[in-house]
Amino acid sequence: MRDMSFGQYYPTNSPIHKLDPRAKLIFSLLFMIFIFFAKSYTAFLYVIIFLTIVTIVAKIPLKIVLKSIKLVLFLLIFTGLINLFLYKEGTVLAQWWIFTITDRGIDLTVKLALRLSLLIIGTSILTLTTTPMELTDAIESLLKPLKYIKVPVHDIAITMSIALRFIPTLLEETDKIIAAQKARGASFDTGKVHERVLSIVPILIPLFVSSFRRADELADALDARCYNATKNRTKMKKLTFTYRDLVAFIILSILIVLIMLDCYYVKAPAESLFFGTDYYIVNLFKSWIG
Amino acid sequence: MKAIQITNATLEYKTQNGIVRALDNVSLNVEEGEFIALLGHNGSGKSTLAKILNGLLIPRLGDVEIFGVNTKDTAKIFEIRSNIGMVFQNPDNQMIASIVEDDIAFGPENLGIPREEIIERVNWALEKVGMSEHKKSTPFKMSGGQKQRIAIAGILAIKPRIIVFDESTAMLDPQGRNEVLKVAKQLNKEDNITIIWITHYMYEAVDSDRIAIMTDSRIVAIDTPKEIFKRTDLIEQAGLDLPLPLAIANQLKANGIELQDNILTEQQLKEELCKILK
Amino acid sequence: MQNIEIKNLTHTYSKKTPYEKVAINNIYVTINEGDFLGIIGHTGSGKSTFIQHLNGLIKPQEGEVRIFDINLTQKKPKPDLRKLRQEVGMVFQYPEYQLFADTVEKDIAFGPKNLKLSQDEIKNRVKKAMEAVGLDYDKYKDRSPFDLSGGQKRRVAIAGVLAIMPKVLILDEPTAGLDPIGKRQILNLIKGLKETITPTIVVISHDINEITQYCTRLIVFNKAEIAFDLPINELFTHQKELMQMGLDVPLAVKVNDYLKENGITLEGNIITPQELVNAIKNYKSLGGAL
Repeated sequence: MRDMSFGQYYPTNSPIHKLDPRAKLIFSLLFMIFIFFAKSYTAFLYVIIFLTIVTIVAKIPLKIVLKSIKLVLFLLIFTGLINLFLYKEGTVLAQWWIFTITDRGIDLTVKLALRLSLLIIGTSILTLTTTPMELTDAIESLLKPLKYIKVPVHDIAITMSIALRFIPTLLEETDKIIAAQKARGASFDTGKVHERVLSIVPILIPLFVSSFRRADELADALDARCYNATKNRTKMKKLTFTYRDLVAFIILSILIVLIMLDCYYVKAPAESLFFGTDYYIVNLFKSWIG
Repeated sequence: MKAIQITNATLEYKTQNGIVRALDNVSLNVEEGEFIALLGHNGSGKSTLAKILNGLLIPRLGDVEIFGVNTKDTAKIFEIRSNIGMVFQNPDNQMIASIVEDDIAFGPENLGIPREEIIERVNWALEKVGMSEHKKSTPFKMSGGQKQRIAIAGILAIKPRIIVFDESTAMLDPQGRNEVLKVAKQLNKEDNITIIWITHYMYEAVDSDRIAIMTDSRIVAIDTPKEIFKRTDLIEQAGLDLPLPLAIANQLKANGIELQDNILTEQQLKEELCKILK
Repeated sequence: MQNIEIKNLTHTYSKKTPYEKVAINNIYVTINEGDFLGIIGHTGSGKSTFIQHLNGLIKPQEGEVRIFDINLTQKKPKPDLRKLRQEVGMVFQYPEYQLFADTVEKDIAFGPKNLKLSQDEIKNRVKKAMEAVGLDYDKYKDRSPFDLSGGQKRRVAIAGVLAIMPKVLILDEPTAGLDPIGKRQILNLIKGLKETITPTIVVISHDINEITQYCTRLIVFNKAEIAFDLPINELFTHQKELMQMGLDVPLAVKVNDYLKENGITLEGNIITPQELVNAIKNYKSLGGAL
């Protein structure tokens, strides 16, 4: 079984991996916000170029990055089909029963799919280049101001860290329990529905019992290591912003500026099917061909 | 000043079957730098005794003092806990971080130690347990012995003067057991750390300074290994075993072969047999 | 009669990934009816992977595994795992962590119930299994297994496997973590099982002084391979090789060897403490060799 404490982390030691996790987290948030301002195909092209560059710099195989879309493929297809068949505005291209396909419907569907895919690729690059531990540290550090309104930021961070730490242990334990019950003739994939549901009991109860036992021992271990000894807790690992983060920020800013220009500055006529820069590029093509 | 001074400690637990006495008028004095082995069958009260040492439990009657500080003094509980570290049985259940160095830093971070010193302590602790090259690894795939050594490093980083090992070798294979015992003995010799070693394995106790035997929530005997293991009936009553070399020697004696009294280790048995058979 | 026949068995974990690890490599073993077999070797030497094959918890990747008349390698028809688990019972490490029912009787009945036996037969088997592990049926049947002592819990867990009445019983580290009393009880129990319940027993143990007390044959795993498969009185002629693998040999063997080096030759095969004592007694009564 893979070690879940590293999530889907893909270690390559690239400059992207070395970015401050807080910076990466903020960049990802910015990326998530501004991708919703990408409304033309040109803007999507900018984003694709940006993500390709990031992937290459991060030394992650393209295949692995694209794999993340697979997980949401169903969602993608489902929302896509709804949009495609139920959007009624624009020139009708085909019609059957309650379903209509319009040119604007197709446009909308493609853009929605692109936006969702790019969003997922963007965030998966974050998790591919950052360990869950680093993310926990980043969240703790970013939430620090909340301490002043009595939010137990540190306890939250420790809880997250412990959860990450125990996921692989509990998965391993579950495997062991399943093996042991199987050895006593239990089967989890045959029988009627209610039998199958009941067959989980011999797994769940031992798992609960052992989780509580672990929790008890862990509580003692935390106390033995002076947990809560002082309010002025220190941290061994200091997160520091470097010039690298600045460079990354500048590159991301260029993308954001390009998207915003396309969205607000380059105006296409309202009646056109095309938006922003797309309109002028299509016209340019038309004049070439014409 | 005594490292540990327990006077007449009594403590009960509430369970489904009513109140159970876990410690019954227990007294124990330990000098700084001693290596004390604590033996007893399951449920004899060993773990409860361990837990009153750092204030995880407070005895209902009697007192526990660690370097003169009473565990009842709640204001000083963290002074006590930074003086007395504790390593438990299951290494998996005492690690809080997924990366070795982060885990070891946890204790000193809790104490608010400055960053530079934490880094020093982490490096020092890892070196002490011989795990320096695993600083950036994840403990998940390691052997039990390695995990337990990391747990020790996590305790060492709070710079305790006493370490309690509460059956810390029970879940390990022989190799892991030896690794952990070796580290404990080294810390005792080189750094003068007082060790309380709780175990089921008799051979782990044979070269400690003193052995304490617990039965039915009481310490029934405390003496040097040589003296303790002379009292065969006491060992029997406490539900314990004799170290195997001694058991063999006793059997030989029962068969009319004369041997000296203090055979506890393999080496002693070999040499003594050689002597009498030549 | 051959109960289990394994040829040329190889198993690799996480094949074709960076985490790839050969757990067992080209192994040949036969287990005969009446064997009292011990398996020793370091953690990670392949012992656990090996025994999990015997119970169908791991499918053979390469090689042949035949258990009674079940051929685990055959694809069609699929091997009958249910029947296999009736023939081969497996007691895992720390089996008490798999207890789940609210009474001892229900927990032990779990295996026979999965075999769809009659109520009478189930009760019969529970009684017999409890007797075999030395727990009084009337006294313990309605107790919660979670309220018992560590050693008792383990005996209940072992009874849960015995109730299946397997022809071959496998025990993985049956005394791990127990105190001396618990250990002695489990050891005596194992010695008795051969006469009462299962004719063939396989025990994995780290404790060489313990395993040599009852096993008649030992298999030594080293680095994914079988280093030795010998009757117990022949194995320790390979003392040096065992030591090189970092494995312990029984104290009596070590003492005997030391005496031999010092010119004292004791008569007979010396492996257990009792054998050593007897040999020394004889040596003495003969007045020494000289």
